[in-house]
Amino acid sequence: MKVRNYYLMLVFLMIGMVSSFAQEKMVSGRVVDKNNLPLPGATILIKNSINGSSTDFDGNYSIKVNQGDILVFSFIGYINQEIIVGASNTINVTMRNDTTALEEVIVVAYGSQTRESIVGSVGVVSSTTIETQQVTSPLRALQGAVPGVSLLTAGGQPGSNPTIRIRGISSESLARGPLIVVDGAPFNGSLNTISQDQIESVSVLKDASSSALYGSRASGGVILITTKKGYIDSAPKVTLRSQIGLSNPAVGVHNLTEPEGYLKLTWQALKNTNQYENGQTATDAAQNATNGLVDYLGYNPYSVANPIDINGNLVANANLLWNSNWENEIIREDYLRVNHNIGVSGGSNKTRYFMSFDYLNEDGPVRPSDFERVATRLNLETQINDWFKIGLNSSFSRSSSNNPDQTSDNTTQAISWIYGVSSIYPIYLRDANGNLIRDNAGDRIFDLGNGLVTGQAVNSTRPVFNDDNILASLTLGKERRVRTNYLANVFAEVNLFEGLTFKTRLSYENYLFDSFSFDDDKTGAAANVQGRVSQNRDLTTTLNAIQSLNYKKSFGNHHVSIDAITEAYTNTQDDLLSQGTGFLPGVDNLDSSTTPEGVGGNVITERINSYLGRLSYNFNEKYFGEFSIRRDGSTRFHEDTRWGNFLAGGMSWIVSKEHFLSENNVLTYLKLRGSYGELGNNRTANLFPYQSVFQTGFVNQSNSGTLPEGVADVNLRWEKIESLNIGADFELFNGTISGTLEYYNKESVDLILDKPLPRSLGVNKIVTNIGSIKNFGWEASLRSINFNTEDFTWTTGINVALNKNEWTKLSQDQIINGSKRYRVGGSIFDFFIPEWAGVDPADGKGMWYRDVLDVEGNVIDKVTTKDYSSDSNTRATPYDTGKSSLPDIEGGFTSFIRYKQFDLNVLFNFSFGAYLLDSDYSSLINPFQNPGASAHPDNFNAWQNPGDISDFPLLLASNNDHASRSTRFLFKNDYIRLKSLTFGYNLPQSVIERVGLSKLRLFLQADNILTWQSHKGIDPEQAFNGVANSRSPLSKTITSGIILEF
Amino acid sequence: MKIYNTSKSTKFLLVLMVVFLSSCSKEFIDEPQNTAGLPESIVFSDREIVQSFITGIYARYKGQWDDDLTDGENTSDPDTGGLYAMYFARTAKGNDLILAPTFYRFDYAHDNRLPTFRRTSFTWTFNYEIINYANVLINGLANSSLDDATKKEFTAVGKAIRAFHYFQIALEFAPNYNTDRTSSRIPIYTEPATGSSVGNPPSPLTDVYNLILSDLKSAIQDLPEERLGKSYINKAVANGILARVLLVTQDDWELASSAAKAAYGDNAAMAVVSSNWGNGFNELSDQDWLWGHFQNGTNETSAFWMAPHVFTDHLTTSLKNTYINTNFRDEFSDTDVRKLFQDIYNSTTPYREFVTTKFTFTFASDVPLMRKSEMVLIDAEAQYNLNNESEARNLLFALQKDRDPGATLSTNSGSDLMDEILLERRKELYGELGVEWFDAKRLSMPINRDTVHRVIVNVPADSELFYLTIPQSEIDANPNMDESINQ
Repeated sequence: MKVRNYYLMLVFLMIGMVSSFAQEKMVSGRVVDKNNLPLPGATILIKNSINGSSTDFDGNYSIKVNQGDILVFSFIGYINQEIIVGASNTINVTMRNDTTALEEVIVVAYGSQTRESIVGSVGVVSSTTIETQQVTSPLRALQGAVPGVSLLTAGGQPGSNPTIRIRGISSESLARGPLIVVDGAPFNGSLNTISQDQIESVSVLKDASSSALYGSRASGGVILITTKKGYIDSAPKVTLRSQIGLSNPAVGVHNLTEPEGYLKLTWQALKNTNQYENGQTATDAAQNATNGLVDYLGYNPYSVANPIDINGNLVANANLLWNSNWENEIIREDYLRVNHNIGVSGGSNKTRYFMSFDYLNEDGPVRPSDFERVATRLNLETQINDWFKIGLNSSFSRSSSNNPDQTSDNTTQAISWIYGVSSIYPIYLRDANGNLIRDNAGDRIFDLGNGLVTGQAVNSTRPVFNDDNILASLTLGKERRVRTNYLANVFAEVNLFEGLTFKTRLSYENYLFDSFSFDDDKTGAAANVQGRVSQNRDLTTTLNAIQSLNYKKSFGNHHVSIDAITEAYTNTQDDLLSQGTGFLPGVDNLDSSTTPEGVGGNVITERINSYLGRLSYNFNEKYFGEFSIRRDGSTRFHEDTRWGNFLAGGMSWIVSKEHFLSENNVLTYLKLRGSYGELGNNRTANLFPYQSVFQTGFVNQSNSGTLPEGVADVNLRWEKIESLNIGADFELFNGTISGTLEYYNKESVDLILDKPLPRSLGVNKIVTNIGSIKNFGWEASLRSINFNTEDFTWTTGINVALNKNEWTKLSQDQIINGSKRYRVGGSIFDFFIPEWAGVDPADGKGMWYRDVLDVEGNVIDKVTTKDYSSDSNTRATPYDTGKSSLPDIEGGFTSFIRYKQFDLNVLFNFSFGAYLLDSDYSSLINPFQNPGASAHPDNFNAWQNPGDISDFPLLLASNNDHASRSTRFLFKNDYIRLKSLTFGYNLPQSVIERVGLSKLRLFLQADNILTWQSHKGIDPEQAFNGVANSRSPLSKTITSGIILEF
Repeated sequence: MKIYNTSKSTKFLLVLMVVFLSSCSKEFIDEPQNTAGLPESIVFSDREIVQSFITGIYARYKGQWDDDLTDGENTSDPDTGGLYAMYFARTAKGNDLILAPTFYRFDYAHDNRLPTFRRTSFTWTFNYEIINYANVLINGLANSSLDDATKKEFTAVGKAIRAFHYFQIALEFAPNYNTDRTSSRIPIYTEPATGSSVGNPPSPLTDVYNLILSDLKSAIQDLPEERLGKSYINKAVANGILARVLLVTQDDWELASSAAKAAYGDNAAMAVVSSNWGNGFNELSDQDWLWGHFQNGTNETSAFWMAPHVFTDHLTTSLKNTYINTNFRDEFSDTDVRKLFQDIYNSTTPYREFVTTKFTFTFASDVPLMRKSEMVLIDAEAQYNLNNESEARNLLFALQKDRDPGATLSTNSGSDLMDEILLERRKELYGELGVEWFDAKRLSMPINRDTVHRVIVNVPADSELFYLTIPQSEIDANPNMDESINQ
């Protein structure tokens, strides 16, 4: 087998290379506590291996190691310590008391803190969690790992970045996602340019106090990505990881009827329309349906002129000539995912470094979607002398993907094609008798349904998605995206005098997004113009400079830290596009275009200037307090409203350090914390939202044109979020069980909203500060160490979040936004749609409920109606359904089991209580008013004769509202997904040491392999608004891999 | 050996240097300018830019209309793409052409008028959007320091555009003017929308038509004949619009005649000469054409959206959904150059028997919006109503003999003559502007469909099917309007 040979070769290659590196030796030493008393039975392990030793009765140990190995010293009740093996052969260790990982250093805004001293709400995901998953876009690893972080990946295009919401939706029209900060600098590129192996940790800042220093853009939370750095005094360590596997769609699409069924259903719809809408007799209606069927659909996949007889059955001698299974043609199975990477890290006594190189090639479910990426990183840090340190973080990444449309509303979109074009339409051109028409070379020709053969009455003009063929656009056209990202981030740190540090950081990011699209010159939308090429080249550059002064001082039990920071941020969008037509066959470069069709481009800049201050204080590491202020000026607002001030403060109290708890053996740790503060949001879609300008670029008879784009509110100001967080961290039995419980309440005020204007004004909206919205809820996480012995470890973790959302202020009584109604007291997620009342058995018509009003407008009765929307006196009333697209509860569950050399890690994420308005499904129900659209087999349940009891109304080929938006298509969308499963085997140290390796691990990794869902036929991850939109499913991937370390 | 001295001055120098180099100034945040477009003050500072604003409006007429220029996504469809789409929806409502069940099929079935439907929303929003542009133009000029000649000329353009679109709104959203002049369904705006604007209450139809007439009369005085091209409105086009309005009000046939004459140039025989018949009807330079959409096939094209050509031409790659009522075909004599019908499918389905080859579709097809020949027929109708029947017959014959060498001078009089004029309008203008719908509406006639049709709907005279309901989005956002307007 190919894959196995590949691994064997790799292993041998590595062994050959590695033997020369290894420097094996014995290290010994003594492990003591802070009182210098020996700790017998302490464990010493070589990190990332199972090789270890333990101390004797006097605390002494010895172990065989390689220089550069990391030794992990652990003892129950004490903090683990990691020490890198250097030149010395003696390592003595003093263990410090632990109440778990409280001394763990966590990256926070503009610095780092110990977990113990944090007063706000920060969730951390480390590289160990990320390594158990295969996430092309690295932040997908947060799903199910941090409570309060909701993630959705819409569509199965590999490399798709997830939509991230932290603690609900705090804005209506502005960007709602978190601010991403990579190594201290705001990141504006595509997240999928970062490979997961580069990441040391991800911190999620959820409350005001932790994120206030990013105040201006932190309303959606902040995610800090910290990359790996290497260790001082460690020998070079090389890690190789290689994974190959196969993917399949995680879930299927909705069922669809085949030609026979489809024709029968359409016949039934035609007959019903003839009989019940147009008043024909049953006999005439049936006869006319039989005669008119092929004409209605334009195509006939059978060998006889009228394939359905007057009883609605297939005529006896009809042969099926083709059956287009678009799903099988478009969505593939068993497609490849390959990922290799190599990382080198190490350090001398002054310098540390990390280098990595990652290669990924992943295919997607929709052919020919794929994603190929090379990502590299170099991090370097050196202490020049005792007061001056400089460093560089740099990365380069380039990805190229085939990106056929699979999530938009366009006709040549893979999924909407499957749902939009039924199986009776052939893939290749047919004549009126159903025979294939071939070109001069004898090849088949894609059928575009545009009447290629003049005068052909049947099999010529398709009534749906006319002039297109998805396979023609997928195979003859090209949709390529190339993303190139270069990031350089340099910093210098000067220790001015004891306690006072000056730090300057300059980062530059250059993100180039290149899209190339080619429509074929012979077939498809651009055939009339001999092909079309569109190229976009969008350059985003970000320059960010931070100057900070930090002063730290301790007076006895008082510890003070003060920061003063200024920041200057410049972001420039430099877009260029060009489009041309008129290509020779087989040519698709713009140079060959004979007719330039369009050019465009603009350079636009935004800036933010900020002043920040932070004061932290703690007394005896028991009482903590923190106060911060940020003042921001943004070019997105008018000079007069430009500056915003954001204040925040927080406190925490480690209760377990008080006398009354210090002796408690059950509750060994308890910390209470609270914070309150303000955050801002300026991330409007438009960079100058307070201005209304005349757009240029219109053209008429070769004259250039311009048009005003609407009206603007010159007084537009910062959207602000007032956020409260209260939390408790606890541990029972010295960390056997630990957990966190948090409550938050954040209200967005001065919400920037599109205020709808009456269309008769000639403008449809104004962007202005109206309204307030509140998000509040609980988050909890619990971790337990169920077993922890030398041979067997079992840990479990669960986290859940319960979020609620509520409008607290609006400019008008209600704003209808699609399937939702915004009103005070309601939520942004509540469905407000007509309520389905079933089918009237007498006439087969669908019914909805309607309120009956008295003269004062009070509701006096609720009755059924068959009028969906036409007459305001009788039409269906939209109701608050009490159902919401916001889950009642969502979260994750993890479990890790290790038995000797084997380990198993699983991560589930789940969501309960949300509803999905499945418009994909509704488009397949009663679609017959639009001839040619695909149909679901559920249509066979439709009412046919008076007295039939069915929940499916009569099928009609005339305008009707049966599939219109109502509770009929609102489905419970509960799901549990086995997001990742890793099963690994570490070769025994005794074996691998013989070949000079420090680690050799073989593993199987599976992502998304199981999905339990309450509503099938669609991926449960759709959109926060709970409305489907023809999205392709995610992939489930199973790979086998190997990790080598030396 | 240490390379660096730990002298404090070095450290502070280093820090000061960094702080100095990166210090933030007021300019830092004031410097970036909005490069996404031009502010209004710049637009009205220069004649050339004002001209480009007017150009922008005509570009909008023929584009792929999108209800929001700022959201970056186009949610429109080929049957709601621009001015051409409004006209083709009218065409679809008649008896002479038949539509297959694809685009415009709901217009064809007279089943597209409810408050939340695409047609209703498009026709309302599109026309009011242009009206606001006209108000921005008129208001911007009034407050500018441009020279008086420029102000006068472009204000006249603004008024002509405003009148044209109020006329469309009145036709589409209200009953026939002479059937119910008091009907209040249409709000009037003569000022541009601002951030603090609220929706106006609806005004009676008389007010709407008074505004239309006064705008047009004023525009005609100040508009020049010269223009940048035939897709622009000049004095002749404004006269043509006035003539059409007067066909609806039917209260000033003298003016209708003189406006039509001003548009076609007084010499009917010369005015009707056209090179477009039999050549695809897609060439704006034809002397017969007064006004149209211009397309060049490259950077100016609406691609597969441009009605009627893309829907009626069955001989090329196109959307091909329009067929011809055989009875209408039979109205033409065999020598008539307008008898451009073919049976290309040999279809047994009655409605699919004939297609027309009047319009040839390419991405460069121009689309007629007003022709001198129509003006000659308006003049004929005006003469008939002024009791100059012989002049009416002469004008009619001027057109007939150009189109058909076998034509003879009409001997009809009275209502027969009027019927002949109306039939001539259908024969001359089929597919272009929805002439059947327009005539049926203004003359309170029914539209009856022959049995050959795919959907047989008979629309009684003055039926509510002749106008659309007011869009729900308007009712929801306009404090001066409520649900009762659609009852």
